[in-house]
Amino acid sequence: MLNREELYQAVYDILKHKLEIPTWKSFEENARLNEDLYMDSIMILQLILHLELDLGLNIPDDMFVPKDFHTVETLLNFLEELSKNSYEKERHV
Amino acid sequence: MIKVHCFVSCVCEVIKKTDGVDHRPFYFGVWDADFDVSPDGILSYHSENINHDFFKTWYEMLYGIKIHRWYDEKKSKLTNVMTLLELMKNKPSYRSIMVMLDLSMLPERENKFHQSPFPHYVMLEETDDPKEWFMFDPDFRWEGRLPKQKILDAIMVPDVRGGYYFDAKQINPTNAETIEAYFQTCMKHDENPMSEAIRKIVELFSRGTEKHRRSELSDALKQIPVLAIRKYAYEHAFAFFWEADGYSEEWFEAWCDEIEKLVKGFTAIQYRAMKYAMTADDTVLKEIHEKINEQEKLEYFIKKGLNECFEAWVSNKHTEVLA
Repeated sequence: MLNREELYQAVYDILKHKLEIPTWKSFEENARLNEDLYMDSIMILQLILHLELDLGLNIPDDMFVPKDFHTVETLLNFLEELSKNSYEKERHV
Repeated sequence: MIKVHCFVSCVCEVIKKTDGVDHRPFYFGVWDADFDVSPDGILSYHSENINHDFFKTWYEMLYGIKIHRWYDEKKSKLTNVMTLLELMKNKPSYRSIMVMLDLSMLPERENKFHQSPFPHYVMLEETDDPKEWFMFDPDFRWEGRLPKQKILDAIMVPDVRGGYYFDAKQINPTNAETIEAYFQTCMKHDENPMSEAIRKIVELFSRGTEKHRRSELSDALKQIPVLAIRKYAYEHAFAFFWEADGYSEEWFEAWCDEIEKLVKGFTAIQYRAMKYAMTADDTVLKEIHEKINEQEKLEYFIKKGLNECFEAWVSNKHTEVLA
């Protein structure tokens, strides 16, 4: 299970090194993905895809709700919840 | 109101501001409005092959307002800009002047889609300051003053070409027969062009002649969001018939949920296509096709529901005439 710090670092690394967004310096918990980091809907999907493929997080695509992708904080809340759920599911199995 | 279609939003603005006329029927055609697929399989909301003649003709039939094309594609960009300047100088208060510009050239404007170039229709007016123009963008609910030169630079971008004006001195209240005819013309009962085009593109990049370009499938479907939001036009139609037919608010909200599901479904297709482009995983390819089939089924369901309340509306209208 990934903790919040690890998820924070993972998102930061993807934005800086994989998506190479020019606004990575503005990255912080309160940053809004669209307005502050200039990420459009496709870039947000690219980010989720990297999180899924690189970190092994299972993110069902019918769970995409815009409010989860408003700020870095709401994204981390969403990922934290997802990571916790998949960990508990694995333990259960 | 969310962005649906920039040309339609521009011409509808004056209708919205006028009592006794309803702009919602004009959105009937927007859910399946024209788009293009380039020869190399790129889905595009804007292209040289798309003109707005269909909307122009029906706008005149519905509201009695003629839309004039002032932009002449046979002439140079500079000549067209001169035409625009002349039109702006002599603009009567009842005239709306539309121009296509590249929105990505105006960074102070929100550009949710990050398209570059981003061809987009806006309306312009002069201000008391000769160096500033008033720009009105009803599609994004934005209006404000911008330096004239910046707007001109955005118009000068070679990828954007187009401009219209229309005089709304007199707006005709639309009669029921014209609305009926327009709905019947717009409604494609047996096809969902967007889902069908996406299916063909996916096929082309996975099993077809472009399969060696599989990793480019993401780019080929990059404009899905711009086209998907056109599906919100169904809401306008349901809202129009809902009021006239006296259905409950819950009934209307339930249809809005289905439309929302349809728009979101395109996001899921896009996500799966991006995943397939990156992984070449056949399971993902299967999931893309499953979702496209699901989308088609849902859109036919929405069309059927809309058609039923359209028929109820027609029947009510005929009863009113006989009464």
